[in-house]
Amino acid sequence: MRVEQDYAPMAWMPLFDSGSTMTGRTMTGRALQVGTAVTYSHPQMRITVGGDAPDWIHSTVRSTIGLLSLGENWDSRGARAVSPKSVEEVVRLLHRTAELPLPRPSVVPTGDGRIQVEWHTQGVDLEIESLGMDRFRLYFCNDAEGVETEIDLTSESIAKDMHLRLLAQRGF
Amino acid sequence: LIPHIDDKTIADPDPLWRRVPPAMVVFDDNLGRKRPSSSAFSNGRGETPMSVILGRELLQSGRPTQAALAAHADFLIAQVTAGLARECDQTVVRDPQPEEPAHALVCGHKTRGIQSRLAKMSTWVISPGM
Repeated sequence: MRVEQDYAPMAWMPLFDSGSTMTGRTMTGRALQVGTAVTYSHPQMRITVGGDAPDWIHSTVRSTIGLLSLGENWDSRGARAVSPKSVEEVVRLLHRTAELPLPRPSVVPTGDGRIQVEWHTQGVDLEIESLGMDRFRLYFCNDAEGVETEIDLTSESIAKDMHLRLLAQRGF
Repeated sequence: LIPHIDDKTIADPDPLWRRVPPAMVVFDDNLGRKRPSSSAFSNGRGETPMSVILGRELLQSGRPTQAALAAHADFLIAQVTAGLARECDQTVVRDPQPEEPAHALVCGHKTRGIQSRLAKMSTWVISPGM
C-alpha cells in the first residue's frame, strides 16, 4: 500500500490499494470503518479516506470507485472501461480541492475511460476532465455573464485556479 | 476524409435523438433538473461523428420510441433539434444502418462549449427518474 504524504492541503489524505497489494474485500462500494477513516472497496481497488474529510468527499469517492463496475462498451458505442488509474487521479484531484467549500460534484465517465467531475450551480458550469499523467482540462461557463473558458492544468494548479475558487466563493 | 455535406432534407425543427447511458446523467442546479452530461454529446473514439437517430423518421415508420434504445432498455434518450446542431457549426447527414434505418450522424469538431450547449439545450424523450 502506498501512502501519499508528499502534499497535504488538508489533514486527511487518500490511501490507494490495488493490484497485487490488495487482499480481502471484494464487495463493490462496501465501506469499512477503520478508526475515523473509511475504506471504499471494489474488486479492483480500495480507497481509504480520512474521517476528517468533508462529507462531500466521502460520497464523491464512493461514486467514483463505483464507476469501476462499468465494463468495456458501457455506452454501447465502444467506450473503454474506467481504470483504477483514472479513479486514483480523480481522488487525488478531490484531495487537492477539498480545502475549498465546494458542493458535492457529479462524477461522470467519458468514452475513453476517463472521468469528468462536474458542478452546475450558482449560475456556473464547471467541469474538470482527467486526461492522465496528472493533466486535467477545466471548462468554465457562466452564461449570464457571457464567460466561457477552457484551460489545461495539473492537479496542483487546479487547487489554485481562480474559476474553482470563484465557484467556492459564491456560497451554497 | 470525405466531407460530410449537410443534408437539408433534415429540417431544422427535426429532433435528433441521442442514446444516453444512466452513468452520464447529472443534476443541473441551474436548470433545476437532470440532464445529460456534456460528455454525452461528444464525438466517438478517433473523432468519429456523433451517432443519433432521426426521431421523426423512426416514429413515421410506425415503430415506438423505445425502438431507439435497441437492446439497451435501461438507457435514456435525449433530443436536440437539427437546427441547434447547425447553430453549433455541425452538419447532419443520414447514415442508415441495417439495424436502424433512421440512423444519422452529427459531424464536426465539438469543443467543450458545444458539447455543453447541446447538453443544456437537450430535452428528454425517455427521461431518468427524479
